[in-house]
Amino acid sequence: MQRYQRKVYSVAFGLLRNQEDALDVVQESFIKVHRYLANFEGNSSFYTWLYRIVTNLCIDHMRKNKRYKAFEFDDSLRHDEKADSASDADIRPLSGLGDPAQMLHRREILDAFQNGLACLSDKHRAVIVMRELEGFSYEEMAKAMGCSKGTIMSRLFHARRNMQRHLTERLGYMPSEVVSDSDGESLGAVEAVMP
Amino acid sequence: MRELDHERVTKLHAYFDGEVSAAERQQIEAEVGADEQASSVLADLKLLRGVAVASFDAEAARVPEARFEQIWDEIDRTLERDRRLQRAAETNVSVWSRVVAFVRPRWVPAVALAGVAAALTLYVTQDGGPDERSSGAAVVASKEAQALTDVSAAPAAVELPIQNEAEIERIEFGGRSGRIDQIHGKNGKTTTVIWFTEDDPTENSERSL
Repeated sequence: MQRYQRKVYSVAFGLLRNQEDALDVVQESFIKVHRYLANFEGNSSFYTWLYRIVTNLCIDHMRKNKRYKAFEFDDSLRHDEKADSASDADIRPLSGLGDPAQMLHRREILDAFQNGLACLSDKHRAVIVMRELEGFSYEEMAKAMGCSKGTIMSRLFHARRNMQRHLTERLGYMPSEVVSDSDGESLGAVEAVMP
Repeated sequence: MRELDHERVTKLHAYFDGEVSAAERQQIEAEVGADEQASSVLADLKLLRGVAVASFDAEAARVPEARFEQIWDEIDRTLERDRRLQRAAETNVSVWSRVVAFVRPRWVPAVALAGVAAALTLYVTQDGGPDERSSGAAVVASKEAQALTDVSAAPAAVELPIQNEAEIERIEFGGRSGRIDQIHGKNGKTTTVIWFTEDDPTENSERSL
């Protein structure tokens, strides 16, 4: 079970954006898994079942906690107005940020993603986490969030576009060199050529 | 090159997420090969997903292993507490079940008996309190409910009361018959004694309520 702990934490942190809240959900999730393991029917993979538990606990947590009032699904999205007024033309392709293979190892890009996630509304963040990290289907996401499949498609579209805009705005340059530390992990660009 | 409208981009997202039918998938794949914009959209989606997964992994790696160990310790404690509570609950249920199973078949006769005793007590109370006591298994149904200790000797030892027309002399109860005696004590008080004869006529025993 321990091998899932960091993945579960990732999902919880992605949704809640608070380390201690996320760790509380991790603990509660594994307790629930132990308690209800006998009820697991095996219709889905254990991984999917576990993610459903985590997601539901996070949604419950957000609904109970005043800090997450925005999670009530009223479709008033922080980024939507900007997104709707902007044309697709001002969305620059992510390929402009550099070599895709290297991007996944660049700390400033990974941090920029987390930063962008924090700027998204709770609903947009939730669809990004559920789809990109948990691999939920549209149907599963709609069920978890209590809305229609069409709403999920719309939210996912806007969430991805907002995230793409955030990344290209923040990292809108082509780093010319990426330096790795002794463990082979990239530390980020040391030289950048501004466009 | 075909312009990418909102509907088409949304369809590309659905294709990327595996949410289109087989026919739609084939159609999109045929179009994407010749459409640079569509290819770019799909490449961005793939890259965004890769960045998302890598970013979440990096974020999770920041939590020290010791913090997770604390969580597992707490999980173990909670589950152990669950097990203890479950064991305790099972024990309690078992004892209670046994008690209920023992008492249930006796409820009706016990309640009936109590009702009769209450009625007799009420009757005796209205007729005057007992005073005389004797030894044995006899029990006096009176306001004070005093016991008589010597069952066999009691009827012979006491002086039978002077009967009048209003007095009840015999009683039937639960297939048994009984005799009602009024015992007048030396201090002037009267005690009512009900004698029940056992059903088995071969046994010459009597007891009172």
